[in-house]
Amino acid sequence: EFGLQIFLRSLSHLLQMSRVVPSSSSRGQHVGLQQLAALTTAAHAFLGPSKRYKFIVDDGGGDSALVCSGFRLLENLDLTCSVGQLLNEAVQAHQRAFRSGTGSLLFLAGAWGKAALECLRQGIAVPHILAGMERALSLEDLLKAGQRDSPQPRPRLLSATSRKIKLTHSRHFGSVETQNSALQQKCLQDADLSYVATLSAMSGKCDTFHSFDIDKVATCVLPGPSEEHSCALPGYVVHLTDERAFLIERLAGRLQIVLLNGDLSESYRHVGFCNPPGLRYVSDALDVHRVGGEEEWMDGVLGTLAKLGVGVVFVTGAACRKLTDRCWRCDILVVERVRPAVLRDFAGATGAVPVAYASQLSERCVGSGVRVRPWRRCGASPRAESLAVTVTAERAALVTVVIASPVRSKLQALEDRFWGCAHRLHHALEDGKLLPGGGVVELQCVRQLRERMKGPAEQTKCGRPKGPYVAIVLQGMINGLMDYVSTVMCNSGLFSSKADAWAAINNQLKETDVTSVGAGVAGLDLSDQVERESAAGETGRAFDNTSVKVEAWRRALDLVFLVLQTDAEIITGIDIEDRKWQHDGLMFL
Amino acid sequence: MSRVCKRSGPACTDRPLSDRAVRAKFDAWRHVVASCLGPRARLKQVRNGVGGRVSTTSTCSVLLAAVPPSEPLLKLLTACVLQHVQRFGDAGLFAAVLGLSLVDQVTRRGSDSSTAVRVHQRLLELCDLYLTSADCCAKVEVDLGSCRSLLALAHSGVSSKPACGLDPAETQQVSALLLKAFLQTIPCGSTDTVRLGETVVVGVEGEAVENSAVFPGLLLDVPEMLHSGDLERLGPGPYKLALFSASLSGDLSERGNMEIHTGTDPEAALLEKLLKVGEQVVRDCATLFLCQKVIHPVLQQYLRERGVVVVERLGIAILTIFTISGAQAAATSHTPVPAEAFGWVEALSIQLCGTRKMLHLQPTANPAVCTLVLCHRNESMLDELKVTCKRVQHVLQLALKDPVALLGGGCMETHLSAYIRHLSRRDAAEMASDLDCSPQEFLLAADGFCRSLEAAAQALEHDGGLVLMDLNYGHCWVCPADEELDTSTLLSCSCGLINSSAGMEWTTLGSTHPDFCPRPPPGDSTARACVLDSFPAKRNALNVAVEIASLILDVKYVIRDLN
Repeated sequence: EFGLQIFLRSLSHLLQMSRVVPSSSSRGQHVGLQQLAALTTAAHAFLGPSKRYKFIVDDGGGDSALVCSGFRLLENLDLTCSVGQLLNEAVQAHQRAFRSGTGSLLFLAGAWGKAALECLRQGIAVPHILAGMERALSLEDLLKAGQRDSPQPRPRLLSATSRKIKLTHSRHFGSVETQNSALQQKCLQDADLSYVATLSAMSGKCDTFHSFDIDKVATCVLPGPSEEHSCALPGYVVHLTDERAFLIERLAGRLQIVLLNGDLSESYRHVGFCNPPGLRYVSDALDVHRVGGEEEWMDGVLGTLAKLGVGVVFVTGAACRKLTDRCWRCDILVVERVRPAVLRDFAGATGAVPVAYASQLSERCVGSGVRVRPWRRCGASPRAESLAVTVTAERAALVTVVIASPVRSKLQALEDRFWGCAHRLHHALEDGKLLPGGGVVELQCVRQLRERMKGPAEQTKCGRPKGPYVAIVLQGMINGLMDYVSTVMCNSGLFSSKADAWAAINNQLKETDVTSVGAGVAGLDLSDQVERESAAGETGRAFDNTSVKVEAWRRALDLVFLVLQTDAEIITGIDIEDRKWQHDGLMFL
Repeated sequence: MSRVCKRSGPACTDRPLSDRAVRAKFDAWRHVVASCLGPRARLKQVRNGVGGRVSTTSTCSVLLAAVPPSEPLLKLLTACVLQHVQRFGDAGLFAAVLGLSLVDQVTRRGSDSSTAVRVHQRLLELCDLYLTSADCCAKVEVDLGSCRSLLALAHSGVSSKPACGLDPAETQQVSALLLKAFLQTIPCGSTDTVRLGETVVVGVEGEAVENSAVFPGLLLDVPEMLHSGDLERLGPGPYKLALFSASLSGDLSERGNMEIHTGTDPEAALLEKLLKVGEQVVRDCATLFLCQKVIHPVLQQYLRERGVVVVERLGIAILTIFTISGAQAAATSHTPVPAEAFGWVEALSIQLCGTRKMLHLQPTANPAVCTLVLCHRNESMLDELKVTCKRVQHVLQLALKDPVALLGGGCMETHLSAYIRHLSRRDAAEMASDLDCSPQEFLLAADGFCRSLEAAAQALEHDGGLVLMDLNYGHCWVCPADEELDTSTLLSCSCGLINSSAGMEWTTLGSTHPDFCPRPPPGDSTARACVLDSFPAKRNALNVAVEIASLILDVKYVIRDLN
């Protein structure tokens, strides 16, 4: 049973055991860690600034997806193994929280999984691997400590007053002039967009900004125009693709707005409402002239909207097509699928109160001061006019970033990238700290781990030096980080192969001594850095978010720990006749 | 036309334990549960073949509930263990491992099962007698006047589940929080009947563990439409509270077929009724309007416009609201809320747990209710942590009733085994004649019993380390696999009670060793034990294990209806 998978078999349940017996002479294989390593290699191309797209093709259905980030990759894969599901869960949770850093998470989970596998192969007991890795990553504490100890002037986005703004953040941030012409040109890069979005979101409020409210940004994807047409606009951008586009001029002047949570249709009921299925309507008279329920309802809604003098209706769900058309005939613009955050912003800015049903609408719910303006026509075909319009409200801070691309399948990746950058900016301001990017932090960690390996042997509680396993575990962690840095360098085109990158990094590590780069890891203060760099006129330096990076490392290690400590996958509720389970390695409980 | 359906006769298995397939399943189960035992346990990923979430766990209640075995005898065992866990919260895996080991010992030797069962029962009585006696050395007093041993109890409980993914500092923090929460559930007033309050556990995914906290009272999710300004406008407390357990969503909740005359609008009529309820509640000056289920948006809007804080979909939290506010839940919206049904809360505020906002309801009196907010990075780990925390709360409550704890880390098992071994050797002839068997048979069965206890201790080590027992106190010691065996490097036993000293002798657990009677630990050391287990839970687990093993060994036939 050494190093083999032991499989047990029973009638209705199946258990797949992969036991690892590291102390024995035949070295164990850990199926879970191997799966982890295999799954994560697919995401190597997503590291670094120049990401490469991947096509995922479904052999059966013929569907395909174009992905450019770790989380989209996992989302589109049909993950059948437990490890895959755990990995997906961790990556999606990280994505929900930070919107960036899933590439690092995936890479390091795989790299450290491989390190753990190597340790197992060398016969190190699982608790020692856990302890060694946990200690190695106390570097993360070091990062945190560096932040706490240094004095913290408030980070801010500088020089809104000087009209020339420069924030160097993340490897994608460049410098942007606030003049409109410059904006238009620079809008190709998503990073610049988030920049512009911030500026517009904050401009006119104060000179320096301490935070960046993600909720005040919306995106609108525009298939058709080239990517240079991407830009940030104040207000909410709506893309109209029907005959309404011809008539948008009719919505002039200051308009009233109402906000609806849910669908705008006769059959819509709030969540939790369900009438019994056995309900029947009976009538004792034959009334052929009776108007249908929906017509009656539409008349009612239109009547209400007209009475309240509403010009714009925002709906979070879907709107009934018939009603939308009839509204349009009465010069009322109905916008469907509005994000709740946008709804909240308009509620705050216009004084409108969101309601669930149109029948709830009263004077108190109506907001005012909304303007609808046509922005640009895009890709009109003779039959279907397409027009983007902006809906703005006085006092509203909302900014919409229009993401355009002639390649429709790229839009999602572009939108993801924009949100990634926006959230990075948000977290940078929240943390008040940045880390040098482009692998500098990782190299610093490698240096420190090497120091630790060279340093005096650590003593166990009984005074004897610890076994050789500490060095092996540390070496595994170092290799993982080196692999990361070399992959980043290789992906960004600095080196043609990973081996070259690896060698160059090793040389660099030998040359520089530890103290000269010590400042790197302690975390850079955002405002200082910006001032220094703008003074020096230096651009293009890459930075990473502190909290995102620390959290990604932590989650990657969590995942490795969970998988490393797992010795069996138990699958319940299966049909033993199913051929899927008919291979000999399995046993039923 | 009639149809004939052929029925097949029942299948009968004679002496099921002699069947190789059944034995293999027993072995598999023993491996699975034994590998889940202890702080260095191997985790199991459990998922359904059809799809759904994967849970990574080493907790008995989760694992056994998720994986029902196909073998009837094993079903019997898991059902018993699950029932034990439900009553005592802890030591379920111990019961399963011990029970399966006992069966394994008897079947492997091929000895007469009825004799073995009689001997097991007798030895169980001896164990019970010893554990409850005053001079038992496997237990320590829990000093309720100080936190030390309670904290050790909590810490042992938390650290024994590696799937929680906590580092040492986080383990310490969570244990301290658990103790804090537990202490808040003990009512202050000295009435005749003391009833423990409750701890509500709220999990927050995606936040660092260090953001976990305990709050007196109850925390609810902040309703979407509530802004902090709304709470400021309320003025100082206490606030009157109306509580509904009936759905206020405005649908027809009656089941069955119904005919409605065209022209009548039941929804409008129901909504009108709901608004009347709202009107009455506003007239009675209630500030909080809570409902277990859904509230119609129109009613919500009506109430909000009048400054009432509305919270819907409370779910199970409604039970806690009874306790903290004294409100009675209105089960219908058709009658007005009686004056005595309103409850009170002292204060309302918005608390931040990491980045998650929660509405904090503080009780007016001291109903000993608190909310434990548990934060964790990962959903799987959070699930395990929640289960673990509930388990530890249970253990702490049991300790209040019976302030005794057993030595953990396998020391209790080895100690008990050494004691029983000594007793059975000393009184073999006498007990054998009592039980109507030969002394050899008795000793063989007793050896099986002791080996099963030792197997439970041995199961705590999963990395090939050497498990030892000292020949003085009968405690359990572990020497890691990748360090060479040298007894001089052993510092203290697994539970931390005994420090190694000159003249101590060890033997590998499970090997034959000279007979000895385990001595009580040196007098000054009783405060040192740092790994503790729940006494009532483990004692009951021992009983359950022996009883269920006896039952399984007694089964002669398994009859299955194949239709």
